[in-house]
Amino acid sequence: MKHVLEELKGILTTQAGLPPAPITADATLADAGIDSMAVTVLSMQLEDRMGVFLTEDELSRAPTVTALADLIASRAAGSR
Amino acid sequence: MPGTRAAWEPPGWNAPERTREELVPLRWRGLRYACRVITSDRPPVTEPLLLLGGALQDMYAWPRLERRLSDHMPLVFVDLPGVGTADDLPAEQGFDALAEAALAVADRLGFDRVNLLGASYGAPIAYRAALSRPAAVARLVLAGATHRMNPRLVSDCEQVWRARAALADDTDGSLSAAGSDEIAARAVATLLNTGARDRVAQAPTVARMLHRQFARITPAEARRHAVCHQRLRAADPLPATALDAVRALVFTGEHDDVSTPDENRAVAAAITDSTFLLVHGADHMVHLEREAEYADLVLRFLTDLPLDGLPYATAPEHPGRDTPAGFTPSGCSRRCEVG
Repeated sequence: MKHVLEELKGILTTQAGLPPAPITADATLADAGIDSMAVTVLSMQLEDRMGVFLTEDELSRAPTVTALADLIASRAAGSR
Repeated sequence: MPGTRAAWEPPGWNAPERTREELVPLRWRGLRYACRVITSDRPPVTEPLLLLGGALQDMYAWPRLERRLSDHMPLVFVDLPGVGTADDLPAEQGFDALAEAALAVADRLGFDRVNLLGASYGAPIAYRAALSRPAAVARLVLAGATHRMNPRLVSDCEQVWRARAALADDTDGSLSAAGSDEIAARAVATLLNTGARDRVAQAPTVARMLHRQFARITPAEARRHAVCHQRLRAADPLPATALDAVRALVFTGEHDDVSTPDENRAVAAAITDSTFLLVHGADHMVHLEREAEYADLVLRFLTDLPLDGLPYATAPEHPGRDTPAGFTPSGCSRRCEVG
């Protein structure tokens, strides 16, 4: 799970152009700066890097950064 | 100038807890509209920025610019009549009406002078506002500006949205996935320079994000977009009248084919004290493709910092200084000539 959180943070900072500081485990997506552009980048990168398919709508519904990482980890486990 | 490229850091993100948001209801000629005012706990370093976005942008459409600039000045994002939460603006009302409604925002908020940024559809509104009350405009920024958008392009856009609205007339308003995809693909193709896709930053991401946004547009929104484009078909959305009393920055992406570099330069040439430049690796959607650079450029201009040697932009030009008296911009692009 920690690995997914780090991967998530890596995508958001290096690919989506977000600053790292607001992306904390308990932050809401809005407070973390995760906007439509970032969610789009994330959806595309998850497909390319991890073969995980999550739509922008699914990603946007996560209430916090931790919940987002949980969702990705759960979907990744299910796709194996 | 080679060897003098300035090092730059994009403006940092302001923490949400350091900002306050106020939603202000407005009324003008009986129409209801609204703005968001974002203020920080730090003292402002320049006049408030009143931002007038494109035809498809409401007052929540600039989250990153908001984060990057809110530490430096109050920000005002507006849903002018015909956009977002505002009442519809009748099609016969033109850009002068919108400029009047924009200036009324500053008046209502008690700002004697504002920095005014007009992007794309917002550019003619901002220009007309500066023409009508130059003393109220500290600085003018025009992004993606043209005296008259290529008529064929405007017509294409209008037809896309009228088609979307019409498709819903016999149903409950929803479209099949294929129908939504087709409309969205047509709309995206009109706004992005697909031929320069490999030279534009974030091009696939921007295309996908816009596609998703456009696929969800309701019939009512589509009708509004069509009216916006109908308004753009008027004789002179952004008038050729010279602007002498306001300092201005005019810019767009170097690959912009909605409002071409030459068209933007022609707008700058009608402004005596103007600076014109192009952002590398971007087209009409500079605010999405190179958002950090966009924020840096705007902040530099609004705080009177030099724009020379920026690594992400062409060298600044000052076409207004060399424009002969009586100059009339053509406002017609390469695509206009073939259309």
